[in-house]
Amino acid sequence: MADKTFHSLHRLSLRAKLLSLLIVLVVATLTVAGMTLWYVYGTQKIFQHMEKSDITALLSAQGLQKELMAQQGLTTYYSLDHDNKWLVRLENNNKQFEKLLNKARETNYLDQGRTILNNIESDYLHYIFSRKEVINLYRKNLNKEGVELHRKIRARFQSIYDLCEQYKQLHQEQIRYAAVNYRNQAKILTALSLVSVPLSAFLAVWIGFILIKHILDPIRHLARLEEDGVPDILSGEVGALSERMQNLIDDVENAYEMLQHSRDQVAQSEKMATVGKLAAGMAHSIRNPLTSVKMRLFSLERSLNLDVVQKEDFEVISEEIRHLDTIIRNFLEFSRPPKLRPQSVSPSELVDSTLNLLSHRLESCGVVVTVCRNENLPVVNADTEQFKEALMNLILNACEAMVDGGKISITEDSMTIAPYGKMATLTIVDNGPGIPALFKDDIFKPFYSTKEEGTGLGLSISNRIMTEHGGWLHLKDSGPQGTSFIMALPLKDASTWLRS
Amino acid sequence: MQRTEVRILIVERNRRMRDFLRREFSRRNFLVEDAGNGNELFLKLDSDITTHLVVLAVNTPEGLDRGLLQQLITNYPNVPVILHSYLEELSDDPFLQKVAGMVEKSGNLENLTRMVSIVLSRYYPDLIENDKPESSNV
Repeated sequence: MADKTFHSLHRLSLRAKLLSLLIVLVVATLTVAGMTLWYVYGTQKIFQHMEKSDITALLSAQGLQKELMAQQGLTTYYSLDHDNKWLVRLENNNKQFEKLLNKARETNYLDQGRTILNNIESDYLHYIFSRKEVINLYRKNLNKEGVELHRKIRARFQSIYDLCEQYKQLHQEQIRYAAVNYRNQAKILTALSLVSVPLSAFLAVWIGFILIKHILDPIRHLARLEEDGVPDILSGEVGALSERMQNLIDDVENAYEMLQHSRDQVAQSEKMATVGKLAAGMAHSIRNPLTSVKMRLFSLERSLNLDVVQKEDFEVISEEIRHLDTIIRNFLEFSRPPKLRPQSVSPSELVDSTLNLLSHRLESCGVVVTVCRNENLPVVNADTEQFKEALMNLILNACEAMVDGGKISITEDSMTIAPYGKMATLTIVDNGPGIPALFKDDIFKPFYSTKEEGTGLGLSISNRIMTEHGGWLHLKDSGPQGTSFIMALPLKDASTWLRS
Repeated sequence: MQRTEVRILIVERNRRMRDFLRREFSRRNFLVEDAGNGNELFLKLDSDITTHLVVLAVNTPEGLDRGLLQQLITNYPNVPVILHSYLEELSDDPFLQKVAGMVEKSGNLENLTRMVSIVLSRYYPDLIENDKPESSNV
């Protein structure tokens, strides 16, 4: 049962736990405070009642006894010397007795007390009457009869005295009862205090423990988050807060990385723009005289009658000029990239279209291409011609790498890649000899080529085309078993980076 | 009118190319004038000698010299212009649509001579009535 309660508490959120504990603590504190007030009030009431009734009654009873004894004494004094001053004082004591009796009646609250007081009053009246007779006998000098009667009223005196004693004991008993009552209440309060004080202390310690373990410690961990990473102990609200903070830090790091990447790209673009401008100027300057050369060669070819060797020389010259022309075209294309004309298209269609265009070339190279596709990829925003060119460059590179033919597989996929969002990816894998480790870092750099007749612009142009589409081209892997590249494009609803 | 009466003005910055074109068109019995820049072009056009066709091959690394083509088309609307250029370098200039023809500047002169025949037969049918244009794929 206790175990079950513990597990239930454990499942509670931090807020619910703290609230519950605080409520219990407040209730316990208020209960103790209420009980203390109740006890003080009760004690005060007992004391006031005791003071107003029992102690007054006690004092009255003692006063009655005293006055009664005084009256008995004064009567005796009068019997001895018949001095009237004893009678005056006797009268005073009589009045005092009646006064005390009235006071006792006023403060009495017990039925038994009332009966006693009635008896005292009744006996006292008889006593006074008999005493007056005794005094009259003494006044008439009938001392013998007076002494005789005087002796008789002593029994009534004793009876009144005893009644007063009885009345006194009655109220003494009430005082004892009040004391017992007081002690009982004190016991309850003590018991309650013995329970509530440890309970309050326990709750306060528990709240303190939760505050330290689940709030202060996690906050300390959070403060040192960058140093230590996310601590595993965080859970609940603070865990969520920690996760949120970690996400924020990740976002900031991502944003910083992207900013850094953008800066690098800008710097690279500026560099490329300068290089491109130089390349364009140079290419254009070369192109015109080269065209002039081509025209003259064309003219010569028609007019000369060449032998076989001369013809071969002529063809080599023509071929080299064509090669030069191709290099120049690449330079110009690199320096003046055509403006993107994006349209909604599935990359799968572009793959099919590119393979269709290259079918003869692939056949002549002895390369077999396999497309792994479950269904057509979702639509992207892409310039179809440029995307095809980027893909074509990769496929042709693979063909050139696999000298005696080989296999190329193109795997289509779509996935969410943080922080870019949903992307369409093409993984192009060949089984060629791979790219030497030494060159891996430089393959996307312009004018960098390991091929004898390469311009070093193919991969650079492909990379730039993908970047301009808001995607990327990565070398995934390369080794003796082959090379794999990944082309990624943002899906249409996520293409916020597309430059138009 | 025979080809010897048809005057072609070749505008080409490269002197050797200009000389070559001049020689080749002269060999084909055209009267050939040439100009190395815009000033020479307009001087020739403004002279008393009639120019029937302009072969314009003025290019800059940034593309076509837009002002030159615009001035030529606007001020000499009756003179057909054949653009002999690197077509891929051309921008979306609206004046490109007003030229009589465009030929890629390659090593093959036949493309240009064929376009010249086509344009001449279109603009001056009576001038070269016996000179049928060759089928063209330019």
